[in-house]
Amino acid sequence: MRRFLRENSLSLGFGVAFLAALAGQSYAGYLDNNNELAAHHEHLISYGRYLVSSEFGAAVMENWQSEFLQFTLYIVATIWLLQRGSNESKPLEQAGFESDEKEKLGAHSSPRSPRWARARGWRRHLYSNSLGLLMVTLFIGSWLAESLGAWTQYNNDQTNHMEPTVSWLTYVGTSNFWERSLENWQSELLAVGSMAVFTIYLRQRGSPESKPVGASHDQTGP
Amino acid sequence: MPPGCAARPGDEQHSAKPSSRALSYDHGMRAMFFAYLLFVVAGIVFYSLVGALHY
Repeated sequence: MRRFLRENSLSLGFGVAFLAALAGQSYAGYLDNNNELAAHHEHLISYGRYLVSSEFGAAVMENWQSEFLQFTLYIVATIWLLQRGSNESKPLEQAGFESDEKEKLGAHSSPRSPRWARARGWRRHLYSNSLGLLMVTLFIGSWLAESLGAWTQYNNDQTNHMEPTVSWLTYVGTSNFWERSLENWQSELLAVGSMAVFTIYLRQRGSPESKPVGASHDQTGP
Repeated sequence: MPPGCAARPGDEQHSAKPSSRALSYDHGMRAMFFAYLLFVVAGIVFYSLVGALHY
């Protein structure tokens, strides 16, 4: 048990912190939503009803989509884009998909390599891009989920203000939807860019997200 | 098979056959992978339906 906790402490730690933050968000969102309903002289809803509402769903998915976009871009963009001196960049001469030898593919694989890394054809190609493909799928899925929840929320507001409701396609062309999306994207992109450049000159001892403390400023990559 | 599901390096250096203990730790790694994946996919599908059904 002790060994299990130690070997999985990163995912367990973040998983527990995530659930705590999600619970906090849901309760604060529930109180805020009921305050708004009370101000509009509408019926208050239960906590359970709020958890399965479009309001809460859209709020959660709005942040998920931007996080998955961030990691999709980071994973894919760093294949080609470089930053001299950054821990987050590959060495300057390694831009691109790199050789089968470096990637331990096919004849260069070992008996311990994943089966699809040893395979040929579409299986090798699919597995070679599986992380990026999963991340982009989760980004598109969560962005779609956000749009559907926010669309319902938008139409509820329209109805409350005696204004006509709109189709989903019309909604995703509104400034409301793009403001919700872009306000999250800008912060994620800034965080990625900052991380890339701050690791040039600054260090965090013991962290894999930093170069070794004594590494030179122009050492690119970990 | 999810990434990294092979036996842990160092676990089986002295034996060709993985021990049941080493396999149980591999199961832990696999459990974390699928727990995250299933939670995220379930969340996306659930809240897509909630929005699509105007709930």
